[in-house]
Amino acid sequence: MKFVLNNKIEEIDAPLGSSTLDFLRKKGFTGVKEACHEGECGACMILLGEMEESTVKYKAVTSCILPLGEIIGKHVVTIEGINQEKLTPIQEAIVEEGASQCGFCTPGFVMSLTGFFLNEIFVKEDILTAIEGNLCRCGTYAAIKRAAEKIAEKIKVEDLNYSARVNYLIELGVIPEYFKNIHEKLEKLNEKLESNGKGTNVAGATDLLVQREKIEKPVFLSQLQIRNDIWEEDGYIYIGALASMEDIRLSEELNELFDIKNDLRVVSALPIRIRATLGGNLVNASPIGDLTIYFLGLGAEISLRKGEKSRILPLKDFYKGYKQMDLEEGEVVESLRIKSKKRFFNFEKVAMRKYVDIASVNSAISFEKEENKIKNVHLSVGGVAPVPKYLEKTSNFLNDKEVNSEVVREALEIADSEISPISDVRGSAKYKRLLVRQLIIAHFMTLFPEMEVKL
Amino acid sequence: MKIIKEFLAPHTKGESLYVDDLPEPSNLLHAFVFTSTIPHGKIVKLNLEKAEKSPGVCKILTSKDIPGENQLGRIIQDEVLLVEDEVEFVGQPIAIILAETKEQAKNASKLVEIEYEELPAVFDPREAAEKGLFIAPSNTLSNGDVDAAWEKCDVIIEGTVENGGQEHVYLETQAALAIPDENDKILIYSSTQAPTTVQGTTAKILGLDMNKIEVDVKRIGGGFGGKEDQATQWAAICALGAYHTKRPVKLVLNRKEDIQMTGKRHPYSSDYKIGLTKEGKIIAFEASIYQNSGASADLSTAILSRTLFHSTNSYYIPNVKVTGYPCKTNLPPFTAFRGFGGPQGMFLIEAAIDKAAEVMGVPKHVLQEKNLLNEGDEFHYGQKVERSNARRSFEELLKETNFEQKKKEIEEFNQSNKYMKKGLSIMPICFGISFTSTFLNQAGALVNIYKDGSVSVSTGAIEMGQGVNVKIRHIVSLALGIDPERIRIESTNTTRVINTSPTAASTGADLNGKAAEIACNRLVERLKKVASEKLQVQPEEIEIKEDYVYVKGKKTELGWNELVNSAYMSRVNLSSQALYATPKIFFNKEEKKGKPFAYHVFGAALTEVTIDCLRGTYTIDKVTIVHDAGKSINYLVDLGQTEGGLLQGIGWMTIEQLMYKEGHILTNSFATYKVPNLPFTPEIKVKFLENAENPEAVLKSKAIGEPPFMYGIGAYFAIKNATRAFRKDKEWVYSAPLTPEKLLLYLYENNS
Repeated sequence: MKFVLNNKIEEIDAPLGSSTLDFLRKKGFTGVKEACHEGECGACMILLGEMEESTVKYKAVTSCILPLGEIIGKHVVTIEGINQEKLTPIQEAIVEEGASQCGFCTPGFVMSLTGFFLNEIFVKEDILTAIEGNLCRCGTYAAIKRAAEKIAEKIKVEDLNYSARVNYLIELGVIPEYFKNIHEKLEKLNEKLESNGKGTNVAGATDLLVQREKIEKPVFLSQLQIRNDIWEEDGYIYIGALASMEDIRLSEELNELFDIKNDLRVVSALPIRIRATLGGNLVNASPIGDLTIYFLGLGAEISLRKGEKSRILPLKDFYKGYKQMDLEEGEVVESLRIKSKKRFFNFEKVAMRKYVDIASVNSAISFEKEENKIKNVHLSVGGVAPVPKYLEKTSNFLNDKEVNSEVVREALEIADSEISPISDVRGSAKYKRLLVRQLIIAHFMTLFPEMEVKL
Repeated sequence: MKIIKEFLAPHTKGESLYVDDLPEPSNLLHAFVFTSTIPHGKIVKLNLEKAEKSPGVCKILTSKDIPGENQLGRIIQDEVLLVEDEVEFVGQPIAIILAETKEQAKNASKLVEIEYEELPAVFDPREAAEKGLFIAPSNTLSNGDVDAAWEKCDVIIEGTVENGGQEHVYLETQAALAIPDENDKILIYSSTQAPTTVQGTTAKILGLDMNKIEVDVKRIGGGFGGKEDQATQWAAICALGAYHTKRPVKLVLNRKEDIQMTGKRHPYSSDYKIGLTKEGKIIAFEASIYQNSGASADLSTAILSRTLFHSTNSYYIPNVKVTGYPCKTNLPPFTAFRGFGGPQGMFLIEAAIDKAAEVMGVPKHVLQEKNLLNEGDEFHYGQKVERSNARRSFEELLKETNFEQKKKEIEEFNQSNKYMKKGLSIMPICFGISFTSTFLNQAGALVNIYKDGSVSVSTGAIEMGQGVNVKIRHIVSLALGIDPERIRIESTNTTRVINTSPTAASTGADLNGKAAEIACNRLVERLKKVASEKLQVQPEEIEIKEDYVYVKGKKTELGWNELVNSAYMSRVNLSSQALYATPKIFFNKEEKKGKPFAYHVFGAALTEVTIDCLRGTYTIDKVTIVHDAGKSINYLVDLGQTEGGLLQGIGWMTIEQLMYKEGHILTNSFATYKVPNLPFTPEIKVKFLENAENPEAVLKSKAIGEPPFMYGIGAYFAIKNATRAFRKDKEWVYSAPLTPEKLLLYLYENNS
């Protein structure tokens, strides 16, 4: 089982379910730092390059929660693999702006910023998006922002295709010469992980490797026939269970229906959104899972597969109790679908820290409007029940109603009777109850801006 | 630029080495610390047999294996390294498991059999005070006559103020590597701010002389006070392991262990009484301050005294009586954190003034400005204010931010928006520079000039990101008159520079920089003598600058390298050691009066926020700071300290919330303990006071590490002010952090 580590082909000699960070540090790549080991700080950021037809696509990912199995046949770039005789323009800008103090987080920032320019999708976003998953406790963010602006001024790759971009970045000294040969190296390597029987299903592992130090008997779903794309069919939009959060966020199909690009900005950080999958989020069954709440509020259905057999289930019926699902032994989530139809939709999330945090309460609502009435109402809330909560009674109540203050008030009462929050690190029960109320009001104030909710 | 570049470039390349990055010795053992799982109790059974037989285990050590004194306490001797019979907090080290791999050591820990007899535990400082549980006697600072002063006050206000703790979140966790040397000597690489503390404490624990322990620190990946006293135990644990096994031992805590086992900023709960004239002059201030000190003293008493020193912040108050109670609770000993008790004291007085402003119906900034320190005003600890920039920075801030106009705009905004409200707040600061324990205000330096002209500098300062080595390099470069490229700043090593004080109290550059300067001056004197003989001129006519010898201001052919080589050939000592001790400071511990600080740092900040009253969330929009950095030695370093300190302060006041359940910390990871990140960061504008030379410190600079932290307190009051624009009918409870939860509950909960 081989992969390319910086400029060299390397053999993996550790369990495939263990952390890539630990592996790299043991090999002496100490520029990759450990600070949290749960994907929260970005000190261990690496680039993961994967062959896609004629190109190698790079993404900056946190190596601490990346299982080794996921690097087979791929290109892993550590800070050591970026360093050249001269500082790269990214390193140079960080130095010039004094955007490094104790230095422990700095290689991670360099990797995130380098990865930004190696990915044709992400590079269209604000450069700061690339580093929202990097923590610096010395608080150099103001300087980092100044450095990032300088970098964005200097490096312009938007209009370049892969090979032109790689050449340009080499010319500018952003990446070393050897990147030119990686495609060839990977092609020669031609390593692919074989599907390996029964064990723990692994998708993005962004929570799995947080919960466990290593995954015993990992079965990498990326090797099964589960789709990772988003497509339209028979009046539905389908999302493959292995589609990443970031792919979902940037999906053209979905963005035509609602502002998912913006909505999911508050869902974890880019390096995690790249790795985390829809399916993983659904079967994690966290009562506060952002994607789960999002799609519950859209009245989504999911498709479950076991061997050749598939069945369709409303997502709201999937959750039976705390971390319990209607999922048979050997069955996997295959895809999710929503009706490809414009509707009114709003997503709300309140957390201690707005970006890159788990919600205290999140909520989504969707409905159609006919004349003055709202129909097909789906309302979900997270963090206030043992399961991601679909507010069945409240949704039913709102169906066929003309929305006014009176109706909202009644809906709030019904919603309040449907939830059972507990006090924990995300907030007291009292607070969460109040938040549910406020977020439902926020839904209506957002979707009916002309209406003043009087309570 | 050049200096900072050479310093930061290795950071950006990931080539700067921290303890866990050092090449591992081949026969290395890994330590795992087995700790208490209950907050208070007696160990009735401890059976290590099964664990000892676990694969890979080399040895398990308990308190019985300590050859010297089982004692960590620096100020008060009340803290054991390894529990003997009574555990006092969750996460207290009981045994050390040494094994071939980390995993093996950890696996073995699961086989340790332990039984406790649980004892009642206390977590709240006021409850501890009621029960008479203190780690030390109370401490009072006073001046004037508070009791008599109340009569002269037109307005008297009483209230309660609370603040939470704060986790350091240094990105590099606590770490140490101990390597046995010959003749019972042990070399320790430690991620510490206080190598001499590590050395002395370890020597005591092992029953060895200090000369048997060498501590070396290249740099640390963040400290913020968390590695001033609490890096010691991990180093001592490794050294104890190395002592017994004669093998190198490494311990790097993982994040959860680190958060669980180590101390944090002290939570406080205080009662105050403030009295003012109807014109707004503060006449009297009295406070009872309950510090949650944790299970043992650590630095708590010193931290508490700084709280008392700074409990009047930038204001002159003629009658003050502040009493601090260090309360013993069953939590890991709380410890130093940037500001060292100062922030807690300043939050207290700011809350008192804020409430007074509300009661009196005047804007807070008016009260603040009225009471700012003037030249010659005397603090309640007897020191007179010299070169006060309190008023100057406050006034410059008002001008810089167009304050009155801004205030009007915000009022208008708030009137035309129902759910979005803006708020602002001014936070002045006055922070005393020097260790409040006078003897600590000393530092040593060793400057060596090699015969090729290159220079090696060692000091007692620890580089932790605050840029002290950048500054020292600059100081040395100026003092010797050579290009900084020729100068290397060495690791901090207890064998090269001895009896160092911790790099703390913002004094790193002041003390060590000055020591380096003195050492350099001595070398220059010797070199001038050599040059004068060589050039046949008087030494007084000589100046060394830009790598050349100048005579009467004229450049000669004699370059630095040649000069150094001549000195060597003439058998001149090219090594110089120096000690700097801050002059003129003293503190009479009986009278509680003196001049504890070499000088004060001043400044003021304006914080602007927007809150969403529907969702109970806030955004810190902008912070403008006018700061007194003296004559800055390095602009980028000082700017970084100001911006970074501010951000930590905002975090402490807003989203950084520690949560416990029966002494178990719940917020034990980055997933549950949130610190400011990039999107959280406001626009920050920093202006350093011009023409603010400080004659009391090296190159007329001022210390910068801690003071900016306290600008963060402004965020609390700005959010509060925005909140009051939405709701005013309910009494405000002064309790930090002001989390989104507290905000929303305030906005919508009934009065009851």
